[in-house]
Amino acid sequence: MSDTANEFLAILKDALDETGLELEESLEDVAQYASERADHLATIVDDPGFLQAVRAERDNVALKAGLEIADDMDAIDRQILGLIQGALAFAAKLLAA
Amino acid sequence: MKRLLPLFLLLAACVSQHKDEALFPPLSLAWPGVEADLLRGIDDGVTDGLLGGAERSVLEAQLHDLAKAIKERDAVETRAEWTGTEPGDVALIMWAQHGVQDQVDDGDIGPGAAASLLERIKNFDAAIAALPLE
Repeated sequence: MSDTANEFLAILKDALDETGLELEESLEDVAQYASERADHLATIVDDPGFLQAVRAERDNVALKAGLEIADDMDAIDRQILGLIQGALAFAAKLLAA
Repeated sequence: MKRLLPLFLLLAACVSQHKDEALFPPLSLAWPGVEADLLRGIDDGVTDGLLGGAERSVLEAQLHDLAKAIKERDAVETRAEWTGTEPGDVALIMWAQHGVQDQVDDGDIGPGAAASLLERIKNFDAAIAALPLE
């Protein structure tokens, strides 16, 4: 597993240990997948459609992880999605630097 | 990366309890993006002469029915509309992929962004295929 994936995994493990919650897919699979998508985004930071790609990767992580996100999202849910999206973009730019 | 910890705490707070309910929320999340690709693909199909007016109407009706099925969490209808199993319907995935290609051809997005959009279409398709049918 790459260094990035290991860092994602450590963060997710800490978070789940604290909350006692579980993801639909295995933690390692989600972390690995999120890491791979961030790595991909890092290669296209300056390309046309980068923001569309970040939104697509947010959706990809949600689909892979089987996240439960309310259909009738309230303001807080929208904030959560925005933060996930921001995290992917932020990670991509860090990796690209 | 440590700065991402609070963000992933929020991520981990989203819990999936049942497999049959786990897929519809992310499908709903991904739908606007996939729908945009579909509409782009259909528009380009008409422009390129691949689709006539009547065929366009059938596809747009399928999109409408698919959106409704996803909103209502109807697994049977969602799969039927996406894969085009009703008489006269077509599988929508190729038009979504066509829409992504059209965006690349027009210079709206680069190949890298296209890869992300195509990955989403693939995951969307896989999630629908995984929906448990009663």
